[in-house]
This record gives sequence, C-alpha cells and structure tokens, in this order.
Amino acid sequence: MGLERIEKSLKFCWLCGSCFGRGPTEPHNWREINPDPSPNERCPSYEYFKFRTYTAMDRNSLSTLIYREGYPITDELKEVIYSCVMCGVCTEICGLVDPVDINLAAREEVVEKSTLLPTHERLLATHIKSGNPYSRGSANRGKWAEGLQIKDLTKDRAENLFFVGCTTALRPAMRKVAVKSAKLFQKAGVDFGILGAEEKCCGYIPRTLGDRSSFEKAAAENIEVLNGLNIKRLITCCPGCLLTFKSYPKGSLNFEVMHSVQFIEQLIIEGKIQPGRADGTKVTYHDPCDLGRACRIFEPPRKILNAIQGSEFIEMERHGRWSYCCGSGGCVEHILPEMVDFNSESRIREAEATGAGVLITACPQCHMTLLKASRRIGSEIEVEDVSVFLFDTMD
Amino acid sequence: MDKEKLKKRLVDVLGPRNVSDKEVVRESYQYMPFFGTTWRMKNLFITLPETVEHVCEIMKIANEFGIPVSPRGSLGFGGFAKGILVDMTRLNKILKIDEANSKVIAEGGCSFFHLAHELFKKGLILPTSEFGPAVTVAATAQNPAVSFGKTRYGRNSELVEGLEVVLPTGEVVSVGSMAYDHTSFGAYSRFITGPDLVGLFTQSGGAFGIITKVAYRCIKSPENWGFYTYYWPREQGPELTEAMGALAAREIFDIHLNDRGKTKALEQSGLMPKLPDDCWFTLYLMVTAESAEELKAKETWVKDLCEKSGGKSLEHNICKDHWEWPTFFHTTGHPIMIETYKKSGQGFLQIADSIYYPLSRFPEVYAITEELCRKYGLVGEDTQTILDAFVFNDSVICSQLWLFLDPYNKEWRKRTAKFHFEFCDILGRLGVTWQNMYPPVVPDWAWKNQESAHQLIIKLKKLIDPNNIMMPGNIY
Repeated sequence: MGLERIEKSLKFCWLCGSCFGRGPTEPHNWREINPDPSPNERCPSYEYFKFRTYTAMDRNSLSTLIYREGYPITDELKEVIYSCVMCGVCTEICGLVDPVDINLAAREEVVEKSTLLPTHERLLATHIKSGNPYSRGSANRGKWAEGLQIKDLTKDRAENLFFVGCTTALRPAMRKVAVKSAKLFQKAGVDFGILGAEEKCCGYIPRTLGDRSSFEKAAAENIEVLNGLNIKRLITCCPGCLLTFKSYPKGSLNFEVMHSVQFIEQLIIEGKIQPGRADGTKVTYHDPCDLGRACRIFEPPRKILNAIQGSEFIEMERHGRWSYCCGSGGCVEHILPEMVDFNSESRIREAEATGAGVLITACPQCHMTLLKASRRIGSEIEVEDVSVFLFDTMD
Repeated sequence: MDKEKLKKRLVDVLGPRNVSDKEVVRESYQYMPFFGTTWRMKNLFITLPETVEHVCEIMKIANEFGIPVSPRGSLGFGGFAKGILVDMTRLNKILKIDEANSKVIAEGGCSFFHLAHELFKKGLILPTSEFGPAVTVAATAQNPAVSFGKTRYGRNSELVEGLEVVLPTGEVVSVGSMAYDHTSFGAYSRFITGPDLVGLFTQSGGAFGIITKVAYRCIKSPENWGFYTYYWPREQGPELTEAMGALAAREIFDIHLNDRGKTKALEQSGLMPKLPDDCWFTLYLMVTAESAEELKAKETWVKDLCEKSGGKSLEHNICKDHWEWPTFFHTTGHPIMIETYKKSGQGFLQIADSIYYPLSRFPEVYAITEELCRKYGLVGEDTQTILDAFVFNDSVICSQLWLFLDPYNKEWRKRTAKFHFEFCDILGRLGVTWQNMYPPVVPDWAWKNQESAHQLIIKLKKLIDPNNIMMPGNIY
C-alpha cells in the first residue's frame, strides 16, 4: 500500500518531460514522420495550470521526496497529487513507469499518513454512508427500471447481469442510458437481469481517492454477492465501473466483465440488433479514458456508429489512444471545478471543429461533464450516449 | 528584500495565475534529467511569462529588487542562485517556416520535437536530439545541445542564425539574422555587418539574457539514407580513431561510438544476439545521398575506410535498427533504454562529465576513463556503465560516461563523486572542455584553462548585466 508498493518505479522516472511536453514523443526517423504522433496538448492539469508541478514528471519527483525524505504532505501537495485526472496519457506515452499507478500510490500514501482534502473527505464519507457519491438512498437505484419488466436477479436467474453503476442509476439525466440500453437488450432477446436497489457501488470512489481498505471492503462484498448470482457475464455502461471491476484481485470474479458497447457490437454482428438511420447527421466520438486507454476498447463504439446508416462519422484530432480527457476524472471536480470547466470546454471546442452536430460518448461521467460544458459555452453540439443514439435510430 | 512587495509587482505584470510562490511548486522546479534530485536550488518565485514584454518587465523588476533570474524551458533545473525562475514554455509558437530558403523562426519556448515534426512535413530537417519533446528551442540554442547530424553540421548552436534576446536590463535586442527580420528580405544570414553577436548568446547558459526567438538554418531532408555498423576490438583504439578521423573528413552525416556497455543489458536479457567476442567498440555511421548511386558509392568508401583500419561490419546492423521506426534514442519506450535502465537497478541516468577533446586523443582519454572506472568500481558484472561518444566536424570528439545513479544510495554516490573529482582534475589539466559548461556544475578548469578569455567574458557580463542578476555564479 502507498508509495512502498511502487518503490522501484520511483527510481526510473527519467524526468524527460514526455508526459507533458509539446510535440510527438517520438521524432521522425529521417525517412518518415511519426505516423501516430502524440498530441501537443496532452496533460489536462498541465494545460490548466501551466506550471510543470502539475505533471506526471513532477508528481513523480514529489512522490520520491515523500517516500525518501519524508517531505511533508501539506494541503498544497495534496492539491498537486489530486489534480491528476488519471486519464492515462502519460502511461500511454511512458515505457519506463506507470505514472497513473504512481499517482494512485501517492494518494494511498496521503490516506495512510495524512487526511484527504476536506471536500474529498466529505465525498468519501458520503460514499461510505450512502453507498454512492450522491447522497441518494439506495432505494433509488432501481427507479430507472420501473415499468420495464426486467428480471430482478436478487430473486431470479439470468445469463447476464446489467450493472448500471451509481451515476447512471442515480443521476436523472443519465437514467435514459440505462433505460435505452436495457431496451436494446430486450429487443435483441438477451437473457439479462439487474440488481436494482441491491446493486452496490463497485468501489470506484474509495479506490480513486486512495482509500485502499474501503475499496477492498467494497470489492470483497461485491465479489461475494456477484459470484453468487451464477452469471456468465456482467455488462456495464460505465467505464469507471468496468475499470474498477478489472482491478479486483485477479481471478476473484467467476464471470466475464464487459462494457455495453462491446456487447451491443456483438449483437449487431449477430444480427440481433438492426441499427436504423440517422440521415444527414454528423457525429464524432469522445473516447472515455477509462474505456479507451485503460481498457483498450476503441473500436466497438466506432463500429456501432458506422453501422448506423446515413450518418457521417468524423474523428476528433485527439482520438483513440490520444483522446483528451473530458476533464473530470480522478475525482478532480470536487477540488478543482474550474479545471474541469477549462478542459471540458476545450474538448467541446475540439468536437465543434469537426463540424459534427452530435458528440457521442460511452461514459456517464464524460457525458454529464461534456453536456454541462456544451451548455455553459452555448455550443450547438449535442452530447449523447452511444446506446441512446443507436436506440433512437431504430423503429 | 520585501517579498510581498516583489510578489505584488510580479502579479501586477503577469497576472496571479502566472506567478507562484507555493512551496510545492518551488520544490518541484528544482529537479531535472541527469541531475535528478542531486542538485537543489529552490527559487523564491516561479513565473510564466506569456509575452516578450512580460519577460522585459521581469528583468526590470529583478534589477529593482537585486534578485537573481534563472530562465528555463520545460526541463531546466533551479539555476545557481535563489531568485525568480522564468519558465519560458508559454512562448511556444513556430513563427515562420521559409521553405524556399530553408529557414525557420520559433519562439524560445517552442518544443524542439514539435519544430522538427513541422519542419519534416515541409521537407526540411534540423539535427534533432532524440531526448524528448520537452526540450525547447532556446535551450538547444543556448546550451551546447548536440544531435544526430553533428558530424557534418556541428552543434545545434552552429545552425543558429539569429536570436531575439531580452537583456538583463530589460531591453530587447535582435542579433544576427533576426536583426533583419523586419526588412523585406527578412532573416536570411547570421553574418551581417559587425561582430558576430549571435555567438555572445549561444552557449551562454542564460548569463547574458533570455532568448525569446531563435532563427535556425535548416537542411533539406535528404532522399537516401544509409546506416552501417562496424566494430573494433578493445586493443584497436588507435585504429578506430584513425577510421573516425577519415570518416569525419569525408563529412559523413553522423558518427556515433559506444563501447560494449551500451548493449550489455540487451545481450544479458537475450533481446539482442550476443555480439562477437572481439567486439568492444561499435561505430554507428549514418550517410546521406541524393541518389541510390551516390549512396552505393558512399557505402563502398565507408566499408573501405573502416576495413582499412581493422573494422569489421557487424552482422546485426544495430545502427539500422536504431533508426527504423520507432527510433532508438527517444526516452519513452525503446527496448534498449528500458532494459538498460531496469538492469541498472539504480535509477536516473547521470551523465558524468560530457567532455570535448581532440579526436586524435581518444585512445588516451578512453584509457584514463577505463582505469578510473575500475579504480572506483564503476564497471563490473552488475553495473551498466556506458561510454557514449560522438564525433564533430572539427576533429573533436565528445565522450560521456552514463552512470545510473540512485541519489539515495550513499555508497554509490560517494564512489561516483570521487571518480568525478579525479577524472575532472586529470582531464581538466589536459585541456578538455565540458558540455555542461559552467562551474560549479563543472570544475574550475573550465575557466582556469582560458584565463584571458574568462576575464573578457567577465567584463562583457558586467557591462551587459551590471547588477549580475542573470544566472549569477556561472560566469563569476
């Protein structure tokens, strides 16, 4: 736990600055230009603050100082550590260390040796008390499914569990993602069920904040309950949940875990879903960090969008492995809301530059963040989830 | 000094978001590659100017308060004295690419990789140090940055044709080609009427001002490239030197030299086939040509020159591998760098004493290096010490010793410090110069060996920087 578990990594940061520097991380090789250059603007916290203190490189140095020299963990230092949105661009670039994991270890060190910043303390307390970050009662988790006649896996059996996650279940604006995903599964004749009010948080919040023991407790509870369902597959529409489940102890879950875009893509291939038409609609796609870089799921949403006839798909400049964070990863919105605004607005402008009328994503957190940014700057670009967009094209 | 008053002055000019006196920001700006956490200088303020005018105002304020100024790109360390650190990375645009005349002008804080990338799209290149994207254009002009292409084109600063500089007094001056940038013909030549003032600022380490714009002369990207690897046994140092001299005289594009330490980690881990037993020195040679016929002819004379001096062609053409995609020397992911790093078990790459000396004296310097490394236990089965060397167009060679250093390993630090002291003393007396340039980072020999010139530099420094605010301690 803490920096001790990544002690070796701390030695290997070369302080080369590739994690935030401008220009491609690999230069031309005299005959050809880099065919897949990293974007110029790549690190959200650096782009906002512009001081290199807020980069993976300097966080690595500071982590070394904490571990080796007992550098004091002040509130200023905590702000630096928790200003990382954990988007993983630095990890994508760096072949020597995993800066996101180093940052996570630094957070664990903060929790172990000090206290969280006040708003993070409140977030964690809310999570522990309510089982979600929104202070909503757990009874509300199943409300989205009312009237849909979906199997309740606390009483029934099914091959697949549709795990919705806190944000999709409890934020009213996101419930349509759960509703329309479920309706897609029903149209395709999928045998699935939900846990409804009994669904428990995957543990994303404590894990991200660095509270390892609360995370392990949440994971242990879920492992017991979910393994007891005898499902073949857990399908989630939240990349944060997907990544968190993948970070449970290896081999602890007795079923496959996947994101709904992967499942839906498969249903289309099998002919169980027939995408409709969206004539004249130009769309672009925002790769959520936790889905794309962290879980390497880039193609399924694109295949889904390209299967919708009549629509035109245009990539943003920073897409795929180089997608730019929506701005709100790493629980940063609770301490640096202005930074979230800055980066999310940048992303909306990037989407606008494609000429697209709709910005599609596959993450409820990205969705809410980008939607707010779009409204804030008066953009005409709509923001929509891939499953909702697909469903709305169908009869 | 009234720090609050100083802060207010800086904030009034730069805005609150571009000035920081936060302890954690000041702490983190101390560290850089090659020094890691071994060199510490915590400045009082970190500033982010967005315009040349901001830089001018910082200088004026620094003079008013009598406080040192240290300019930095993305990676620089904290300087030699505590004061105002000026992070130049917000001045980062490419201003002009003149394809017809193969010139470029960029702001000082522009990423060199970004510049190289954009130039390449237009069929132009600059010898590009493949260290990382954070290195800035001003840093490569101001410090003796060296890149592939050095054998023919020299140090990066030799390709600098003009500069815009903010002097320590806050005045802006344009020298060399940049003095003519306002004219119809634009910035086209370093050598205008009067002394070559560009030379005052290149390799100045920031002592004479802050570079805000750089004009480079570029090279048209050659059509044809050849990569060759030859090797020599340990005892044929003189023969190797003869070959390097002959190749450099033919203006080969690049000559890079390593000893067996470079590939040790890869051989140990099986990522590279074992090299021949008699392979000690490996020479990596790059040539360019305008046609396939020319390339073939050059390949022939490279072969002849090397073999005449006892060199053998290495079956595994490492040089070619290095420059296939992805290129070797970038820090972020090439197998050689990763494996060497991990095998070292130590930590950051400390380049101990990057020194220049006559090419003809290579065997002598190598023997001294080897002897001292053995004396202080820096070479052995469990070490990854590497000799890295490169040949220039003026019959000079630069050699570096790569030591992998854990700054918290006291025993290793003590040994490397003792090595460093003795190495510098021996070679300083012989007359080497240092790539890192300035005491106290390098020994006093850097100035002792050029007393009259040093006195002149001090006079110029006092004239241009009467309050000695710019990087105090490096000139005097």
